[in-house]
Amino acid sequence: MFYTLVIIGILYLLLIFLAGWFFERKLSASAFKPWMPYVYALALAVYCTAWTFYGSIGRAANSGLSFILIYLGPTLALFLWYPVSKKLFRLKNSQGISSLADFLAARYGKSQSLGALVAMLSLLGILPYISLQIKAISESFSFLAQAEIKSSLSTADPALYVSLLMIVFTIAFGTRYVQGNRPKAGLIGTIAFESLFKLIAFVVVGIIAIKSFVKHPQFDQAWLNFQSLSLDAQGSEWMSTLLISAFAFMLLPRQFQMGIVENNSEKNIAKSLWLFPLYLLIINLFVLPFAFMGQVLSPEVNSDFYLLSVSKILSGDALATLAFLGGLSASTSMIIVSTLALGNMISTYLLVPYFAVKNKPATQRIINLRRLAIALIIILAYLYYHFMALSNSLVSIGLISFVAMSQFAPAFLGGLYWRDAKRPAAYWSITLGFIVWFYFLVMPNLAQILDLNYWLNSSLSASNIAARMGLSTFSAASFLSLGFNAILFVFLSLRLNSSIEEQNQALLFVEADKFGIKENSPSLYRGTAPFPNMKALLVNFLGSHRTEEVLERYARLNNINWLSSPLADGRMITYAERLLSETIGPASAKIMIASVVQKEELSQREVLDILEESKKVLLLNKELSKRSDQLKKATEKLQEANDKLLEFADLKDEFLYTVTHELRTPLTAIRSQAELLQDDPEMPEADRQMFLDNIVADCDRLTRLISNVLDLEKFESGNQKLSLTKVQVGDLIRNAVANYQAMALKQGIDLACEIDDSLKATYADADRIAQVITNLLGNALKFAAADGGLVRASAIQLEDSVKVSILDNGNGIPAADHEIIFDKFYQVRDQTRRKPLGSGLGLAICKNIVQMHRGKIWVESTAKGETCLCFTLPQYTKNPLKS
Amino acid sequence: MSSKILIVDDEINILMSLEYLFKRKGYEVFIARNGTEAKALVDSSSPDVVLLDIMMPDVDGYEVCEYIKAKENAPKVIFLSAKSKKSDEEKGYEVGADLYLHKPFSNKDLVQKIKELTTSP
Repeated sequence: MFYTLVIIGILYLLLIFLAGWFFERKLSASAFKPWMPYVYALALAVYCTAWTFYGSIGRAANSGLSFILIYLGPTLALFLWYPVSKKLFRLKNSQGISSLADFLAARYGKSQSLGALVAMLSLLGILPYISLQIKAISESFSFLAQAEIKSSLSTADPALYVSLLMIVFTIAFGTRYVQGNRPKAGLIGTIAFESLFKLIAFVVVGIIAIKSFVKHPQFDQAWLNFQSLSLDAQGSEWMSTLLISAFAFMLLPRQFQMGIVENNSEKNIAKSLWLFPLYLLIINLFVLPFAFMGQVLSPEVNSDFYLLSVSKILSGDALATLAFLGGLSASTSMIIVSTLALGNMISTYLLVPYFAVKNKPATQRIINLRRLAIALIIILAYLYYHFMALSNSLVSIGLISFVAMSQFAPAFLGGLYWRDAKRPAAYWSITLGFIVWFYFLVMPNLAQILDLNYWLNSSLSASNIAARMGLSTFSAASFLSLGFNAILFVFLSLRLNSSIEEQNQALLFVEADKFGIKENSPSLYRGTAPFPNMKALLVNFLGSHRTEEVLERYARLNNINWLSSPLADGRMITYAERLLSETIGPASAKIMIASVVQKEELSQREVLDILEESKKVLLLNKELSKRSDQLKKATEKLQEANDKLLEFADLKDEFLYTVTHELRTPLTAIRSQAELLQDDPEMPEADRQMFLDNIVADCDRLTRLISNVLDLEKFESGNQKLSLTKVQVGDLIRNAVANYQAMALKQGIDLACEIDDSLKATYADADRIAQVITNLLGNALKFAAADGGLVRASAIQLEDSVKVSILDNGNGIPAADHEIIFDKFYQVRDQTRRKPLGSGLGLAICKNIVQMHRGKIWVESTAKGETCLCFTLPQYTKNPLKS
Repeated sequence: MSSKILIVDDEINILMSLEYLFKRKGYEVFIARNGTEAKALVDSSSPDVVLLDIMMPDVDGYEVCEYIKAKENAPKVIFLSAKSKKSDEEKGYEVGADLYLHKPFSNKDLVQKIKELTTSP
């Protein structure tokens, strides 16, 4: 088991290196873009550490449901976190902020000392927490491998190697860019991957364990215990845990890193509002079951390790190994991100000002200092885990860190939303909060280690003070530290004054949303600097390649020619300061800028004016882009209309072409025959008569065609008016049939009509409807079968219309042509084939007439394959034109 | 030996007129009312000249022309069409016609053009 576990563990760590390498190359590709909100939400789940795997279950076993508060706090805090993170995202870009220390330093007048304080206290608060993760790795390993690991430095401790690998990973994927606030795809992707992995591991282990536990003899006992689950935690305990975990979710270095610094788009935030709570819900589903299974299955085991013991008992080593890997992934992601965030703060505020600023070139040196800080932090955490007895359970050490980070909350929220918040107030209130924190949560542990029993028993000891207040030590520590902290912060902020620079920063931060400052902050300086000096400064910290790049971009965006304007203006200086801030933090950046610029701060009034101006420009830009969108739409519409006109013109050409063709055909016959008659005076009388008859028939055809064209033109131009009278459609049909009877008889066609007796009179244009019926009948007779031809005209009464059908037993019309036979010269689609019907206009005219009556005309095929042309006329009992 | 002429058109009056005209001029005359008939008659009676309409109910004139011109010792083909576009005419020559005449035509012209066509090498 020992070696299996070692090999599997190594394989997992190799996997995350591979993941880092893969995501670094792929995640920035556009194919991943739609997935970024999900990756982002998963990366936020770095919140769930080894604590979730081990400590939560332990806490659930010892004190019931209260473990859930640690996840409920962040869920409730999301309402606050949403506006906060959006604002921070903007500030991160406009101010070049890469950490919480940067944020507070920049907000409170670009203060080096405040940044350093935040960096040191964060280290103090988080270091034990990182140690805790190392401890979890080591203990879970030794638990499963059943190997005793001595609590002294030992090369047999797997946690040592994991820690060393974490240094390598964090340096490899966390310090790629000298700008601290630039998102690192490999890091984000790997953390998201680890979050997904630990979720799946927990859920799989949970499902399999429960499945086999249901049949277990001790199931009933556990079920009984479950039913007596206690909810009797103190209200104050609940309150303090919720409050502390809500603040921790925003302020923990790893959360600030993944939630703000590594975020690449404002759009990611919204989706995480429901994805992140969902994640917390799923990963906590199995905490209680494991607590109760552990109590009955392995009561002898430390409750923190119920997950491992239960999965081992129920399903053997394989499942327990999966549980172990889940815990390992939770630990490693926490170590990586926390260390990176702390490393940035420590190097920016404690190393860079002393070791990098005065040396040239600084770029590589800055990165190296960050790497050094990262390595130091992990080594320190590892040493802490060995030399300080970590006697507390996993949960309590985590909560101590939570309370520590919460001390930044007043200065943080005040900085974002309260213009009167002042630097000394932030400085001293944070200090005070940490002192209380230290007194209540750290001192007792120290006293225990140092055997200071007299102090532990004195009336001033933390536990006794808490007892007098009727609270747990943790609750008392939370309320007192945050309470004193906040009161001092408000009190000092109201009492003190601040520098103009700090006031300007306060304005920029508090109004970040209102003025919509994103990429380029407006110039807040009066003053100029020689451009070469400015450039040299940037080259030193950014490297010459990137300097050229950003200056070129800046010049392009602002239409500046450096050659013709050798002086950098206020805006350029502001921009340069932001670029520097991204690499060395706002405080050092300010000092560097001051070294080349004789600058003068603007008054608050002037800053407000500038901000208003930039807001106006922003609005103007919005308005302009709206206008240009409208113009674009109008252009598209015009283009469309133009296309339609062209299409109409084409159709008209087509129509003319077809009409002339139709005119030429009878003309050809007339001319040719007339010529024959003219040239051949001796033509036999019979032939002469025949040609003359033909000429007359062709002339008739020409006349018909011309009147049809004119008819159609009238209908289509809307010049044709209907004259409506009360009409019996049945009579019209009978008349038309009577007119054709002689012709039908001659062709041997059986022609008859069938009129519904109930047919009612309707208002219609009698002549026009007669024209339609005649036309349809004419067609039907033409196409009826040559032998035994049959044509039927019928009319029936429908609910609110009259339906007329003309049926013939000819070859029928192909289904594909049913729609188009009503088009003018419908053979147009197949230009070289002659149409089967008359002049090609008759049906088009019929359609126009029927449609003017608001009726419909169409082709039906009967079951026997006969063709039926049908139309309806709406039933009008009054003249619809006279209302 | 009299020349043989095939007249293809779906307009009966035009057919009758041309039939009369060319019989009087001493041609042996065949008539077809659609493309299919035309193809069959070209095969069976091997005419010297074919007068060809384009718009017909089944196979169109262009196709008939291609069919004719694919044969050995193909007869001369003259399109007689009411299709008046330049592109129609171009297509007619493309498929191998010897002449493209627009309807309406004059009988004298037509007879003259056929004479020129059949006597020239």
